[in-house]
Amino acid sequence: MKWRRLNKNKMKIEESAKKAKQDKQPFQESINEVTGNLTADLNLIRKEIGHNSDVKFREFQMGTTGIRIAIIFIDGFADADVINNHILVDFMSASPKETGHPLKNSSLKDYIKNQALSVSGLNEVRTLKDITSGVMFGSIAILVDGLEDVFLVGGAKAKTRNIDEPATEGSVRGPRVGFIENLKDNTALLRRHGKDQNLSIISSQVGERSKKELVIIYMKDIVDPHLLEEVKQRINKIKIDDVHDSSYIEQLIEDNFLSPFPQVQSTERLDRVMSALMEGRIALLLDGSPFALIVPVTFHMLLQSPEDYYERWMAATLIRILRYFSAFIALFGPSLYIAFISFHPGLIPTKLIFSIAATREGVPFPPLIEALIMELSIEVLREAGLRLPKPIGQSIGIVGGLVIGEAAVQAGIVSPIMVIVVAVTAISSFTLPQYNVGIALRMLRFASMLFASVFGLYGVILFFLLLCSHLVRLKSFGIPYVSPAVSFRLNDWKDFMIRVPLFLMKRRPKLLHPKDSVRKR
Amino acid sequence: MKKCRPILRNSFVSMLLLFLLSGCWSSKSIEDVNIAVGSAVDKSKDGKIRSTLQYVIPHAIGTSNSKSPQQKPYINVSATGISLEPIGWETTLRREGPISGAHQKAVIIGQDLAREEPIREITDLYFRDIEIRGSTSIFISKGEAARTLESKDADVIPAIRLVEIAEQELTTRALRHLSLMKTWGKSNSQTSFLIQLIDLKKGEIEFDGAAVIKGRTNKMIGILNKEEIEGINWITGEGKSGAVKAFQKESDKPIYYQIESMKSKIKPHVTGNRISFDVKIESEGRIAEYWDPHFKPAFKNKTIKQIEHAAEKEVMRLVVNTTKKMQKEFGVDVGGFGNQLRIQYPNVWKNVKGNWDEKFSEIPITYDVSITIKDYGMIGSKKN
Repeated sequence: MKWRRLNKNKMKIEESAKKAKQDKQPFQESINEVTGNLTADLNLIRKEIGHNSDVKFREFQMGTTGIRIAIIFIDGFADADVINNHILVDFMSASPKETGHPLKNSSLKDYIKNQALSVSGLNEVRTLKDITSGVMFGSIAILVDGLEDVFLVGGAKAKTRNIDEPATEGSVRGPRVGFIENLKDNTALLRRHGKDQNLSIISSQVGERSKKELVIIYMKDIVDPHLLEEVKQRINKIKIDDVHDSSYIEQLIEDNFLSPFPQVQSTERLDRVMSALMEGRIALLLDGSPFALIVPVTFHMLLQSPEDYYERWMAATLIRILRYFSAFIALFGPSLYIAFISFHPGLIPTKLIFSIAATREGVPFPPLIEALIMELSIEVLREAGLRLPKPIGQSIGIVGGLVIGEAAVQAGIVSPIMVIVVAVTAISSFTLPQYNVGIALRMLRFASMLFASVFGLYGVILFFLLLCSHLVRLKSFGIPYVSPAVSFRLNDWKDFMIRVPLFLMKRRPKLLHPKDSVRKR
Repeated sequence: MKKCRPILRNSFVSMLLLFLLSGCWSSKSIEDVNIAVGSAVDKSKDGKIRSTLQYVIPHAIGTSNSKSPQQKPYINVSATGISLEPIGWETTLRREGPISGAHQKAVIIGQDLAREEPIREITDLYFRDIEIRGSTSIFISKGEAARTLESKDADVIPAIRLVEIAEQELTTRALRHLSLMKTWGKSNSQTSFLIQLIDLKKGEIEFDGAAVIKGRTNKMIGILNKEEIEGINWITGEGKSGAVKAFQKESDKPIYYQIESMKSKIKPHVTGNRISFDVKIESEGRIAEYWDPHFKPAFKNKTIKQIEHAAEKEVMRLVVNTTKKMQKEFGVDVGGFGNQLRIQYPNVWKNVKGNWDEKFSEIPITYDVSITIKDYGMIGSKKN
């Protein structure tokens, strides 16, 4: 059922893509070849892209020969260093001495390629479409009067930022390296940190209009070939005009769009990607996005932090268990409170029930409404804190928290214990190392609260069962989402809820069917 | 679209049925319910039963800001009827909110009622109710039971104080904590047993003696005083701590032995038709109080032996006295002798269990008490 609908969606996307293609047909038919006449060619190009204010045309002569040359580039996008220090210098000082008379087409071209132009990346193109797209992507087009070939030199020199520790995934120990927006830098980082000849980086393009480079990264001798094939297939099926961020890719290749759980892991951390690759997973990097995607993903990965491997195993194990516990609280905290106080007062210890009942005295709302008021205001605060500039955001958090918490209790709208429950729940959800898991649990928390208020503890259990049955069915790229718990493999439990000492983790996770299963001898 | 497979449809329908098992209608918000912590059952003047329920008033407890200083943290509601169930409904006519028995801590039965009605019948409602726990404590009050649920102290909930005293089991002069569930078993097997007796002294409760419940009738037949309870605790070896007088002559200055552990072993002997019991009591402890150490230094082994001996004699006096009371005055076995016989000689037990209490009065019991002093405390022979 579900996949059928999925397919329908995909078909829709494909159809719209086809339509787009058809619209573009007239443009594509007007492919013109460069004639060799500089003035005519320039006019042709001007007509195509000359209306853009940032497209610059520069005409000059080659040395003393009088041969007219024009370069076309996008101001600020093409590498100005190459233009000023190489192209202009080379051509203006060039003096093809040995002949004296005007050079023939072929020898002029050879001369420019072999002697004059001192740049490494050089492409020859002939069609107008290639020239314009080249210029638009940041290359410098060189047109020489009398030559039917146009040289495309260099690539875009994008402004990049420094390689910092990612803001969303901090850690105390471990490399402080995060990906940045520039794909070339990212792949270079991967090469530098994963010094393995089997580290394969395969490029492909996504986006129908704005073509972006997407690389598939994997370990050639570890990854399961079927998995690789599946990933490639799903990426090839993406037919969309533009992908602004790797999250587009994530949403287009995920298995179940109705599930609240993320089925692709996104991370800014280089070490996380490297360790995933070493387990036999596949990473995707999109140009322009600092977030790498890791597939397939299992639920326990989302509750792990790379730091689990940097700390010693005992601390790591305890922290990991703590994280599972806080995930549980983040999901069920308020709903357990609601269930207990409105259905099962008998299950609360006697002294505790007196103090809870005392604080509830005079609260005009039933527990569900009380909890919803607090939870919603926390969510509003969190969202407000995110959107505001950082310094204001923090103060909003503090002021809002204090005001809502303190004043609401003073006014008798909510009970103090409710404030504690909500605060503990919110803080628990912050311990999750992946932001999108936090969001998933936050959404489910509200559903769980509704169940609790209608059915009590029984409802919470029903909700948990529903959630479990969904999770058990869910798959990410053919891998069961809750493995290794379901599709039980004892060997993989070494790195699940506990983290055994490194010397005991001799095998890669079996669930990924790695070609080379030995991690350590 | 293809038709749904029956198994899918059926499982979907049965899953929906799961949601009908509970719902908002079973919601009982804690601020609305009356949390009953104790109840007292008395005989009313017109011969009916008068039941008193103690509800907690949560906002009158503790540090809550809205607390008014004069308000007591509990309220007692009582009504009269021929049994407990109609009385419970009667109380809802007087106070809003349903009654929650899940936190019921104590049931107190008045002496008058306990002597006339079987315990099992009085407490039937408490066993039958799903909410009320089997761990609820049971007491019998010397006077009117309802008055034990009152206290002059502002911050005290009497029912909870009662249970806390019972559960600490500090001294051998009180019985071990007895839960409702245990009385259930004993009543059904027609075993005689003891229930802690409470009394009012100057308006406050005090644990004072024990009510003897005769197995056959399941009614109260008499009272053991504190000293006799000590004897029972030595026989059963169930005490945890307490003191024993360890001097013989009235003219001596006080010496007291503090119990740190006690053990007892009741050993039945059967030769032909004759049944007899040997009880071996062992205890370890320390000297808690010794007013006159100059006279006989505590470091000397001889002195220790003397004190041990004196304590042994005192314990012997206690258990013999209690045994006499059990066998001669009441003719019931409340020391657990029958149970040991049942365990070790099940065939013999089958023959005697019908009239065990009568038979028990005739059986010879010998005691062997040994007490060991492990330390003398902080002061030895030196002058204070």
